[in-house]
Amino acid sequence: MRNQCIITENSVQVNDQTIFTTESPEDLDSFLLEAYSTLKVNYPKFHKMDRISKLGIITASMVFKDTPNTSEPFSTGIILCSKSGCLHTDGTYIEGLRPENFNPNPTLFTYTLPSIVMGEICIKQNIKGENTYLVLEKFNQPLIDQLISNMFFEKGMDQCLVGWIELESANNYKSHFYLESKVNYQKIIGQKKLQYA
Amino acid sequence: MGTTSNIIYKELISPLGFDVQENFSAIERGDTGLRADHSPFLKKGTFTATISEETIDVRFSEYENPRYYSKLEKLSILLIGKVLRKTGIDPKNERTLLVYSTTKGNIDLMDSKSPHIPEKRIQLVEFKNVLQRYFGFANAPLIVSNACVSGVQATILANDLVKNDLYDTIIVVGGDLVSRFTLSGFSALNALSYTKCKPFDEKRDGINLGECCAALVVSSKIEPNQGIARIAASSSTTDAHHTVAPSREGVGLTRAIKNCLAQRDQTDIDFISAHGTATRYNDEMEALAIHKNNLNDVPLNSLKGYFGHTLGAAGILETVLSLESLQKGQTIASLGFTNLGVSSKVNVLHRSNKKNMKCFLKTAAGFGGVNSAMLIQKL
Amino acid sequence: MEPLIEELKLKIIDRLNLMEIDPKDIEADDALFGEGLGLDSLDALELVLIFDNDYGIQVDEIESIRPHLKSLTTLAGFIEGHRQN
Repeated sequence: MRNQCIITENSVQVNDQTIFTTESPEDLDSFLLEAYSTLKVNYPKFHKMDRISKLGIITASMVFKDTPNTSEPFSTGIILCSKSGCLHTDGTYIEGLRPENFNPNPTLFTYTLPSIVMGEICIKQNIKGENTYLVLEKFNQPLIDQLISNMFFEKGMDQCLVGWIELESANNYKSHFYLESKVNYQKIIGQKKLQYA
Repeated sequence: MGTTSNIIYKELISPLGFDVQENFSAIERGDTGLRADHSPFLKKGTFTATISEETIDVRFSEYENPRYYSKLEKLSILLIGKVLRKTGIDPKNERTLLVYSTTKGNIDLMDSKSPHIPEKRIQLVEFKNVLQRYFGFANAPLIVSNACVSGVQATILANDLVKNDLYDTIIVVGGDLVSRFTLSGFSALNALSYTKCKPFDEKRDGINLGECCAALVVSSKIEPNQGIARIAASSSTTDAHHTVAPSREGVGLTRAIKNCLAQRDQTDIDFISAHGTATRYNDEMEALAIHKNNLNDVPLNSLKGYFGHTLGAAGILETVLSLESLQKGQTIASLGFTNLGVSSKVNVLHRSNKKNMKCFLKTAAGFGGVNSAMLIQKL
Repeated sequence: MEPLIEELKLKIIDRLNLMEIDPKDIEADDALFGEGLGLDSLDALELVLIFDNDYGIQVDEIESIRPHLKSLTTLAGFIEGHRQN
């Protein structure tokens, strides 16, 4: 079975089991901070990051929770997609651009690239292989399957972290990551072929 | 893999011209799109390469009322419209796709007071919808947004999708603007040069921002004499080191280039179209990665001295002009370069010269620690 | 110098979001960058913002003040120097 993690509505699910949740609907920042410390994510840079990167770092860490990433870094790929990207952080950065209070923050600016969350995850999990970041209306499984297949059979990856990460607002967010391995993928493709035969 | 994929067409709108020919002629003359920019919010001035909106509107009015479209939408529509007219590609065909590469899309709308352009168009998905609706694309356009490697990665992605026979034809477009958003950010990062940027030079001190819209068409359907080139090899990696500072050892880019070289046949590389942003660290890292792959004698250029850094469009812009350079048998000089200022010796092109060429390497690196390289070979 | 060093320590922890660092663990002469506190180039820019916003010191070229960014002591010395001018 492949490892997966879903975080939404103040709860963290790993392989269909809720492993962390907050009782009262707190604000997103305290939920993320609490999840970070309770789940022992251990990434000191966490506190400097924007919300979407925090969400991404926790989700990815939970995918590797029981089976740490020991693969060759250059043979592990990553595909992330999102609808709103870092729109939320763009808004915060723009606050600092008002003429009456012009104070653009350099760190915040770096998080106004949608793909920075991917960079953070790669640092934390030591992933150095093929990488793709797409902006999509919704998670498009057939397309993603094609990209995964391309990674395994054309680009020589052994495994690939795949994820949807969406933060529309502090109340409306969802991340869903899973780790796909070439071995497992070959099996699935084999079964599909059997069905068609 | 299913079928073969070739680059069959290229197009470009930049501060130096509204088609590839105009741009290439300007480059041959040594023109630059960079102009002094004294935006009041910058502590010191910088240089930027921008396209006047009035000029865009004059051309755009031939097709549509400019008031209902943002600057990037107008540029993209002009560019894609021309690609479709020149190639006869049918956007309504289900085997046709648009892949769009951008980092910030319509971000300039944050300062727009236009009642005719809804605020939500600042979202990349909405931007994509405008293009889909305008041309009636059968498929929703795909948006690649992976920092400054977006352009190269979008081209690689399109090539892979065509090779895997998912589409017959893909139009790959890259577009980004110079905006208060990006200028203030790079200024806060201390990354802007107060002069015209000088890639790989000892006096380089940062980037200039630029804007453009560039397109490549990759297709498995090829008419006689239509093919230009093919992507012979490609690879993307990450440094897993820092989100802003590239790895000092050039770990990721070295590997991406190495992967490309491993996939190629015996063809020699005639030149390298480098990322060459003119920051101390990028150029140092890039030169090291090239050196480690024993490509230090291969002539190299950066086009940032002509166009500035066009972010998500850069990889496509530079590929378009490198292809023109291949086809014309005319190398492009690296503008802004005088004396080598990187520790690993690389062969920066001082001047343009005639040369019979077949193959070039395109490199790119970006925030997030991402790197891409592709090898392009003339048909 | 002593109170200024304490003040800077708390400001740095706050603005640079070093939430997992205990103020007691930072000595006045500890290296801020690389080994030591492990600050990076982005943090250096944040320090410059602290100079500007909190102490009214404008820094045009970050390279020119690099030696002053070594430790809390050198930071405090830099600020003191500007106060006297």
